[in-house]
Amino acid sequence: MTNLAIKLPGLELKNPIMPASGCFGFGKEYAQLYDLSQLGAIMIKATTVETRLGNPTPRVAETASGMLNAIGLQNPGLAGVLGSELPWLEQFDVPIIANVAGTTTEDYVEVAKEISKAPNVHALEINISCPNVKQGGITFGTDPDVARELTQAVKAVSSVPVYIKLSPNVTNIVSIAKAVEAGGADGITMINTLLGMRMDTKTGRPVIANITGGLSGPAIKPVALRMVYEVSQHTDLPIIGMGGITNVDDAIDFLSAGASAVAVGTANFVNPFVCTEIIEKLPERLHELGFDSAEELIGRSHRL
Amino acid sequence: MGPLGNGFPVEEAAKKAYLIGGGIGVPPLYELSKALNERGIETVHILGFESKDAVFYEAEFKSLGDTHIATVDGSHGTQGFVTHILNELPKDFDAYFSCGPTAMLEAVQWAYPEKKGFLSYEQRMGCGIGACFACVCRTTKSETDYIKVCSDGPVFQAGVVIS
Ligand SMILES: Cc1cc2nc3c(=O)[nH]c(=O)nc-3n(C[C@H](O)[C@H](O)[C@H](O)COP(=O)(O)O)c2cc1C
Ligand code: FES
Repeated sequence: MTNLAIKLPGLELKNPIMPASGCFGFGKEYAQLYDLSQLGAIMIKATTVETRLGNPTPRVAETASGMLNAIGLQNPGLAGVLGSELPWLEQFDVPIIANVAGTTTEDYVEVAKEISKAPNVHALEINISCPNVKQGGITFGTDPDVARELTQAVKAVSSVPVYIKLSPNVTNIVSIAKAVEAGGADGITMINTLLGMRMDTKTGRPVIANITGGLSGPAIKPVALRMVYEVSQHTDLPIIGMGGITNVDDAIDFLSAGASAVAVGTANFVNPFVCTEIIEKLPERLHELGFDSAEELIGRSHRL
Repeated sequence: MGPLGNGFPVEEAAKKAYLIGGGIGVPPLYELSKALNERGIETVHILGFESKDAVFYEAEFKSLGDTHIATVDGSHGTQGFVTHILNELPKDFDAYFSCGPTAMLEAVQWAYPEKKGFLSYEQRMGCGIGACFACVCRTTKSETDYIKVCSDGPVFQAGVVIS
């Protein structure tokens, strides 16, 4: 019997596979296709204090081996998520990781404090890629001091373990990882999208109404792997890795690089069954590679 | 898996319908026209294209009813947009159906504020099933109300969607 279970702060995962935030809504659409209890966990769409209507459209565009998005964190707000989305998800036997976003430290603190009290929220994922309005729009995730202070503030109020979601749009991701570790984070999730653009060749205009968007999908997997590899060598925090995972071997590569579990984002749009297919194939693939458990894979690249 | 969602409500037309399409919005109107004709509804087709080369199924549409073509460069039919033709035609129909670029749908709604109309919206999509918030449009219902083109549409009654 291959053992897929992984234990992480706050999370007893049946298997190390979960959908990434923003690519799975609050589960309702995918629940019409399969039983969500099969998943290791679910990372729900970002929640902000108030309802957000998001950016103008077009918000997405295809790119070579990936896509750009600038959804603008559209979500029903803290009251909507607590009042309707999370209670609905309680019918499934699956831990929820709540993605938290905001534009001030107070926003993050308020959402973290309230959402962490929900019975099925077992961990928080703090999306620090948002612009910090008080610091002149720099993102929380690009300055180590700002990232550490935000981590501390959220940790002080959260009832569940806190994972910080790192932005790849930095020159030194290890310094950010170390800063959030110093701030008391329980884990790291990485990577968020890489900032990019696409032009309409005919008109010369950017295709995305927001001008820039976040690049995701297979195109970013090499960048994500490199970053997981580096960060896992320099911090003791467990990592949930993501970026371009579309099949079981991609998932294994992230575990080998140092992730303890993985999230699948954009691939859900191409194949809505991708998470369950990876879960199904994982035991056989582990067996072929000579492993009895998913846990043995974690960080194996560092031991070679 | 393609986008889920609804289609044009053929039962909303009583006697005569206008079918107004632009570019890649034209092909879906052909099946619709056949379905309407099967129900004994008279159809008039007003179709817009970039140029003569892009004109689609003109003969087939003609076999189903009156057909008017506009091309942006004037290489075939009327020069300009479908709205130039709409201004010349009588308003003796009871429902219209339209599919094409959002700007065209807007113009068609303006042309027939008093008529019952159904518009099929185009929007760049991510998931196609309602989970990613890529394809949303605001609505006239309230400041915060929105629809998802992929799962709530793509067809909406005229006067609902703000584009
Ligand atoms: C349409 C879309 C919406 C996203 N929304 C969020 C979000 O709300 N919060 C967040 O932390 N990450 C969000 N992400 C980033 C993903 O969770 C993930 O980090 C990234 O897409 C890389 O993984 P992938 O290549 O498997 O998609 C979003 C990504 C996409 C494509
Ligand atoms: S395309 Fe994802 S919600 Fe419509």
